[in-house]
Amino acid sequence: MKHLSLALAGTILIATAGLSQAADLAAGKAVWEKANCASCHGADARSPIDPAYPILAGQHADYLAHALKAYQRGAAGAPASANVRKNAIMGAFATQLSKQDIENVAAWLSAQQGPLAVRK
Amino acid sequence: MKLSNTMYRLKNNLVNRSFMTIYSTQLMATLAVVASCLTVSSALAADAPVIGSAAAAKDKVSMCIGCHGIPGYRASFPEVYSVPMIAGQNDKYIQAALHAYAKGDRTHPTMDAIASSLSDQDIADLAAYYSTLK
Repeated sequence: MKHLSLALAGTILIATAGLSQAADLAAGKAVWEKANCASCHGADARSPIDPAYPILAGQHADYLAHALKAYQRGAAGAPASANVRKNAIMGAFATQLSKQDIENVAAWLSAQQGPLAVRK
Repeated sequence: MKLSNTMYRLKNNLVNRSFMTIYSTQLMATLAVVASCLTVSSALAADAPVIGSAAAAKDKVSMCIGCHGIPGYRASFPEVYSVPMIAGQNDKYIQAALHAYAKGDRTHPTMDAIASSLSDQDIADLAAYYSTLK
């Protein structure tokens, strides 16, 4: 009985973890839609309206999160030594995002199909 | 018009002064045209897009592959994160990013140093290389 309870608890934990992962991706998609990212980066996050804008689909989630935080630091006027990105458009969008929004949208983007790869 | 010819004509011209006036006006006009052509050509050179060559980048990627060519490679400043995948990225975006590092619109110790060492041609070549890397 004790073993069964443990197994049940374990199953519930795994299921919950699975659910929260799904929720993050759904929340990330919501962030993508709310901030209207597609209007520049393209509906599939890999067909930007201007070739000077990046393909985001399939990029590393932790890199995308890092980039958004760097835009936040740049918009907040952090010194150059703080690792900043100064860009009027991305600074304005990144500033509206919470830390959780950034993690979620980065995770969702990373899960999209894209042409990016590690090659040399 | 050769200079010796001009001198000959100058010597033999009965209305020397008026000829000189005419000639110097022509000379000034010619110089003005030449000068404006030079200005236009240098302006064109400045505006001409730098054409990137993926083949030329083969000798320039050594400074990129130590991070961007290693699967799972992570940077640690100011937070730990995977360095971006750049193979298959947009040509113009790669150029924009490198120019932003060189200019100081983006700051990152490693990328600042590398981007600042690159010419516009180097940047165009590397962007052509990575955007088409299969």
